[in-house]
Amino acid sequence: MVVHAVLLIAIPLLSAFLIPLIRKISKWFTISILTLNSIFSILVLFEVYNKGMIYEIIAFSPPVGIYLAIDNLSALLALIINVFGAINFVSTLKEKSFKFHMLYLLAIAGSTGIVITGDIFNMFVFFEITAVASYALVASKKSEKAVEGAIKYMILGSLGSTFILMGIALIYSQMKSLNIYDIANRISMMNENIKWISFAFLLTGIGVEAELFPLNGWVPDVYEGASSGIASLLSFGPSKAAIYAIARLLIVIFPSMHTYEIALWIGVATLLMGEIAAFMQTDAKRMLAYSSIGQMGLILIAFSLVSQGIRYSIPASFFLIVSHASAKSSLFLLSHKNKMGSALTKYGGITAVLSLIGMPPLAGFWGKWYLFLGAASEKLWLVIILIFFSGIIEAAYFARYLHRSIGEEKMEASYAYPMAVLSTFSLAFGLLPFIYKMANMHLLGGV
Amino acid sequence: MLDIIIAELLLAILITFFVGKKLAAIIAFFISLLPLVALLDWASMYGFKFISFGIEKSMNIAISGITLHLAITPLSWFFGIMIFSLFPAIMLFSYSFYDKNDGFYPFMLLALFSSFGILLARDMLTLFLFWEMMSWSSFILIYRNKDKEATIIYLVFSTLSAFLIIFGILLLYSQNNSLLFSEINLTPNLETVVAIISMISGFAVKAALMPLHVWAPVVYSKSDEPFVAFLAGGLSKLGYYGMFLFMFSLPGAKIMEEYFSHISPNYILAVIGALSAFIATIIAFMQDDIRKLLAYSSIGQLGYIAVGLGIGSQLAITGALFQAFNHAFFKAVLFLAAGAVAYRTGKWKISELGGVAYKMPITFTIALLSIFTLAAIPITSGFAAKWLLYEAAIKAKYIFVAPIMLIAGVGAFLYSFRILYGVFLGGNNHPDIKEAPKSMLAAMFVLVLPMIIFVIFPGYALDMMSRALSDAGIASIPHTVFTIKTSLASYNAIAVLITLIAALIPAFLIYKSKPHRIVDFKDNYLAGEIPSKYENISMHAAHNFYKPVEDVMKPYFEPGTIEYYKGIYKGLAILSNTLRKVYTGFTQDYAIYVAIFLLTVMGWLIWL
Repeated sequence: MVVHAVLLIAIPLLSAFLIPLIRKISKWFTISILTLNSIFSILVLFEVYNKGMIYEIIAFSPPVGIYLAIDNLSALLALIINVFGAINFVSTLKEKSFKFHMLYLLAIAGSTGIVITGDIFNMFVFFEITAVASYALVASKKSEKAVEGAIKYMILGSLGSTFILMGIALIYSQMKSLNIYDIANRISMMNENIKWISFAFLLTGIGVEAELFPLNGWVPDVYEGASSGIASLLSFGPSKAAIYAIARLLIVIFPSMHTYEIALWIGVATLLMGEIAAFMQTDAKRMLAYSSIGQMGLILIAFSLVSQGIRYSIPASFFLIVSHASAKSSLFLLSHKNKMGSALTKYGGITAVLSLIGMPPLAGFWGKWYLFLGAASEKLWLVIILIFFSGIIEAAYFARYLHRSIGEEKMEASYAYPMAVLSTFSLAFGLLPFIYKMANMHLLGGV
Repeated sequence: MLDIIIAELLLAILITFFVGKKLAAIIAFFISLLPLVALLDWASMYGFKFISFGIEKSMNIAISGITLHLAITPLSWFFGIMIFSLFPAIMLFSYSFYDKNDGFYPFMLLALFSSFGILLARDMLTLFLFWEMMSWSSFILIYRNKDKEATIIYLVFSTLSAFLIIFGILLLYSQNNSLLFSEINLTPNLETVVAIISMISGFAVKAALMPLHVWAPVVYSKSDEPFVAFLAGGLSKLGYYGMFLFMFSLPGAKIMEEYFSHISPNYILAVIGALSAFIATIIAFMQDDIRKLLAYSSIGQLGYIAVGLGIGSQLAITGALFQAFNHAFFKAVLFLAAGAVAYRTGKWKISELGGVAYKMPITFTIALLSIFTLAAIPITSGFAAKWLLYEAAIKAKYIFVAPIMLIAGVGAFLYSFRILYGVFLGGNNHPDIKEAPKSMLAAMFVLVLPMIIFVIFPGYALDMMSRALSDAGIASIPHTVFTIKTSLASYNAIAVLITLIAALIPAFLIYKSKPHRIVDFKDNYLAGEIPSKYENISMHAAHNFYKPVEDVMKPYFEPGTIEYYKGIYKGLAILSNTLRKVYTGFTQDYAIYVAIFLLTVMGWLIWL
């Protein structure tokens, strides 16, 4: 069955605007849309898996119409965003407000859009959709901290968006094109300085969403303030979409030794900063937020090793993304009560932590393993030692976190079940050869 | 056949999660026999024929785009026999030890499964993968006891161990472009030497070698005894298995000697081992908590193995393997015996116990036998092992190592005596306890058997070891079933045994021929005085047992090694709290960061 990949964006986007008309049944409507979208994302993933990259042009020819370019990583991310989004929605079932459901769908649609679009301007639009929906979702908890976080997020986010737009404008002024692959093919024609300036603008703008150091000031406050379900959504949705956008930027549009090097050291700085800041953090949600920053640094390091270690660094990034998306969202759900009372929550919490620390056979292990092999094939011993160092710190604070989560208090089923299911993904993706096979084919448009 | 064994192990792990405690114990017991069955089947490599199912000797499994190479070698066989003998006994012991099934059996089986994988691994990824699986399964077994310090310290040190090992793997991989042991060629250059040293340190963490041992006393004293029996008996041996693998099966020790012309890391390893034995022994006899005492004793006894590996001669390695073999059994028995005593009395402090032997005579006898082996009293196999090590050190002219080892050997008597006297003999403080449950006794008895057998037939133990060593190209020591011959002397176990019995018979006859009375413990303690004034003071023989020695020694061992690690922890805490200040909470600051970031990236790309 051929599914038009555009439905992945179109369905949730249109339904989000439909929701105000059907306020009474908005919850069930959202559930069915999320389920439908999950099924579509699985179908798209299979199509990419079997046939390779999908290019799709909708309505008009670019730049007017929507141009989609779905490679294996975007298909995987679309799956993660939609399926995890549907699972995670269970934890927010108590929300009655139709506005919340609308924003949730918008966030999902926007994140999916970022990963499957092949047009740099559309990417910006989807960034805006995601960001605006996320600000509001964070604030939807209506506590003081949530609003504070949302405002910080909004200020930095809009700053970031401006930079993205400026970067795009610079590229467009030179290339007269917005198609990512078109730009990539002719990038050598671009004025050297303008090329780098536009790269810097884009990296800064997207980096705000991707939680890179030092653009991530909003992260701890937002994750602390947001409700568990939304923190979980942010950890697998927008942030993963943004890091994927950076990967496209880095590997497809601006591939060069300099950009890889910059990305590598930003990644290392982000990793160290996140892990060291998390080390002494006592508030569980803030600790998880800092830990997220660290993991995003790790993913960026994986993406930056493509020059020599591409054989390993791409599988590494796949596994790290899967591991982080599933484990961190599961832990954010756990942070609702922070006590692992029932067997199900124990299973979920421990699996998630083990995957993040990198224990086999979970996805996190393969991620770190391939990352190390990739770094070793570039002989980056210093980077490897720094990753070890951060890994030991990570082990220390996660051990403390696990100890603190011992308790008899039971979480509601609406949190416990999604949590266990999300954690299972890091187990399943670690055991099945599926991800590795995905990672070894036609990545990011044939790099 | 091997795949069926692996599948059954995995299935049993799943099942034991969900069944009741009795059934889980029974399933776990029978499943834990499987690796032993496989090993006995593979014993045909040694010319023995116990059973033959024809289990294949090698197998490749493909997961996640990677092939795991598994095969049995004589070295793994030897370590396997030692480690997998422990598991059925531990499961048997746990049958009465636990009153509910809360995760002990599945994770213990997982530890067994991953130990099996570690021993069969024929490439570095498989080794590392199973090594990590063992780390986290044992981590969960520690975590379920809900002790904060043990949880953190074990996970941190496991991670440290893992990273040291993987660093070595990466260095070797970048040299050879292969992960298979058979395709690794070691050449004497800096990368290889760093890799070998890094790996040895990684394995030394699990082997509890000083100064990487600090997790062991904490974890041993805060976990359940059946699990600690595995930790001390089995897991530490896996650490030495790894060291052996990279030092002798792959000729790492030789490469290091070639690369360093003066002092090679091998020598340093021997010195560290000897110091570990010496220091841990002294700390051990100052402990009042029996678990801590046994933990330090473990660290000390394991130090001897490191000495053997460091010296690296034929004698030394045989001695090291022999010591490892003995240690696996006697330390497991002692921990189980401590568990049995605690199960009945609920006490861990030596100064609160006493007189247990009168009520638990079988436990006492079994513990006594292992204490003999531990203290290396002649005729026990413990003596044979240490004798080989002493001789190796003397022959290699390690004038620093040999005397230290000897002193540590004497020290072992001191703490063994503290256990014997303080826990089992002395005043009868526990009039109303019973002998340990039958399953516990059976478990301890099974484990004490090898010690009895190898008292009389040290040759059998050497037979097994010489096969394991031939794999690494080391000739075996000349021996017969009863006698070990070395260039300095020959040791005949049966002759020593007969002499000992011959000497004991007259002593026994003299003892029997004279009338005697049993001197009450208090008579002895108070030199016949009747305590009138101090009637109510608590008189416990094992209280402040070695106080004079302690007073002298204690200042030298303070601050303990753990304090240095705590210092690092505190330093990191300060670093963390300082760096965290970057996140000021003010959006304008964050906006400035964004601007700085933008300009830095731009500047870097345009001007560099």
